[in-house]
Amino acid sequence: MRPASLFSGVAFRSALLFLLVFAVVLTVAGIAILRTTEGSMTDQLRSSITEDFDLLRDANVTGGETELVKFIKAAVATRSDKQSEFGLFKLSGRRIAGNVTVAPTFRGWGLLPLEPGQTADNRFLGYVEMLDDNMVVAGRSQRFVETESGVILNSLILSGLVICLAALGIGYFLNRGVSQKLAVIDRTLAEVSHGNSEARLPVGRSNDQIDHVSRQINAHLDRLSELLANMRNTIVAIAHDLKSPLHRAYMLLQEAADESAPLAASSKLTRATGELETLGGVLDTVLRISRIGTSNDSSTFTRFSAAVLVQDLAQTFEPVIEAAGQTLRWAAVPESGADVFGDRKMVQQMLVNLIENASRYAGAGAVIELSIRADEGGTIVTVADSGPGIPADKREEVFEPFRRLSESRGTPGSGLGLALVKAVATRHHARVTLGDNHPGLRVTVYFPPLPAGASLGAERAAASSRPPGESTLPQPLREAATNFTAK
Amino acid sequence: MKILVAEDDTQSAEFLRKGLVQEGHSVECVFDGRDALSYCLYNAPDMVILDRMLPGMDGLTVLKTLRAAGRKVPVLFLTSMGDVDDRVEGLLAGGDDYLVKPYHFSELLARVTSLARRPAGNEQPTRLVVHDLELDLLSHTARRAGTVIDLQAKEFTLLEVLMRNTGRIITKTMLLEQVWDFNFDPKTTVVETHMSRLRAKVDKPFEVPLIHTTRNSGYSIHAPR
Repeated sequence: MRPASLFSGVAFRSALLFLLVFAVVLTVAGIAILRTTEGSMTDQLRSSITEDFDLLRDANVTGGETELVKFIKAAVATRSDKQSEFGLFKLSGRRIAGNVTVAPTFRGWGLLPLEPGQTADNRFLGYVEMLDDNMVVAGRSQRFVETESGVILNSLILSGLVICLAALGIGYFLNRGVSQKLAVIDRTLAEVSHGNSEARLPVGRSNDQIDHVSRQINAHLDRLSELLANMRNTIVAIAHDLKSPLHRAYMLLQEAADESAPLAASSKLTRATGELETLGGVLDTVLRISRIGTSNDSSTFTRFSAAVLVQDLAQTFEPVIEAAGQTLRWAAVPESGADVFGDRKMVQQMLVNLIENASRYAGAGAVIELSIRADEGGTIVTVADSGPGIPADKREEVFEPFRRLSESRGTPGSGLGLALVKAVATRHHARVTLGDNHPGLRVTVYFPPLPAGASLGAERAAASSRPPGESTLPQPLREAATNFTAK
Repeated sequence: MKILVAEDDTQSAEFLRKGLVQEGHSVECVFDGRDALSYCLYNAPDMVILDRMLPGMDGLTVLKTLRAAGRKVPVLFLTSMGDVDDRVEGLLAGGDDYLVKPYHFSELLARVTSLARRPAGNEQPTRLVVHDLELDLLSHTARRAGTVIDLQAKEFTLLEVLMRNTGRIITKTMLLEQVWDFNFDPKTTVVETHMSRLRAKVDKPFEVPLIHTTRNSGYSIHAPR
């Protein structure tokens, strides 16, 4: 692990921050403890000095200066620990008795002047008072206060250091754990970006936040590689589906160029044109799917009767399906409801694709059923057939562009039909499901309920108020015809 | 007929010019939207074939400006964008018809002919007649030589579209648009199947066929010549 990554680790930085806060708290608390201890020790010192001075006062009262000198000499002799000092001076500063050699200049409490040869770290706290004509001094060494404070300070510093080191160590180890995990994530993602789409992050058993995130990233990677695989499939399929007609047209054109008989040449040219038309058709559909998928424009959305649309399509496709040796059944159109808010032409093409798909893949003799119903949940259109159906595990993938089940690759169709269905459904917030028709495929489109205020499409209003004899042409063309004749 | 072709691809323009001249039209080609507009304003062509994407000024703007200037010349839009939205936009802007590239020349010709010969006058006919075939739009009945022919709804509309354009070729795409309101080419033989059913009812029981197929172009209905 690089040092930079160690110090930039979140855990390490948290440890440092903790340490800083701890140091501040420790310093403040240490100062407070020291002050309190020093204060109480100084109080103790003062009370000892006061006691000594009371004895001096008593001696003065009992025997005056003589008794004082006697007491002081005895005290100096008995207290050999050099922790106490006494002094008796005349007002002129002349020393009469005691071990204080330099007369203090203050009265009351104060630090006694340094004796010759005395060091500053061993000063004496003293009390000075005039008893009759004499200046009497009683003092005690402050050394033990300083020693005790020093001990406390040292233990504070020591414990602080120990805690700091421990915090740094904990931070380091925590950070090493996190950094190692992050380094693995870093490496794995780099691997993925270099093309190994199978690489996945390890997920530990600790189930911490990193494991949680790793699981999320793995799920995203799964989805991504699925999309990638689909895209590769699509590109291969596009290449196949576009190049095949292109190649056939190319061959036909070459043959036509070499043909000497004009009739044979003309037939080949016609076939080449047909191939190019197929190519154009595939491109148009791809563009349309992409446009439907990316556009958000709903200016073409109106409320229209899906029941009328389904009936119309049933009438259109019944003869076509019959000609293919199949049977079309469709349920009676409900009187009301079954309205959809959307782009009628898009929905029309979606349903045409579903009907044509059913007819194409169901095989000869199949029955194709078309039905529509409506409830509070919206309008439901079903296209069912009695053909071979689609295995349950393949039902999702047939919605991918150019995806055709391998067994049907040889059959005509661009494999875009269901992709367009999906795109139109998504655009209308509708849901498409593929189910088992026992036997066969059952495609169900669930349109959501009408949004509030969806206006009734012009189509139905026109249909209900159409006078007898008026054209049965679709509305836009009728309008165009009327506009033209008015010119 | 004097036709203006506004198309920036010179090869396509030349292809169109040749084909239309062969059909007896006089053709002028422009390659820029502004040229198209000024030509229309000063030379009054009988029809304009207008590409949607033009340098200088796009086709839609040319068309809107023409209509704003009160020019009612029929305009056929050409485009490589075949989406429904584009189609609607083009028709709303005042275009009379819309054709997506690549197209068959016969398709274009059928649409040009259809646009050029639209009947003048305001009245909607209530009865269409071709030879001994009669279509009563009021009672929704078809009769040939006095015999009532029972037609399904789509067959009736199909016959109506053909008879409204008597003598003119109507292409498969035009039928899909006008009878079924389809702006896409279904993979199945919708037009062929319905047409064969219609013929079985309208032509087969009678001596003279009225509905004719023009190879690679479309269908037409006319009296025997």
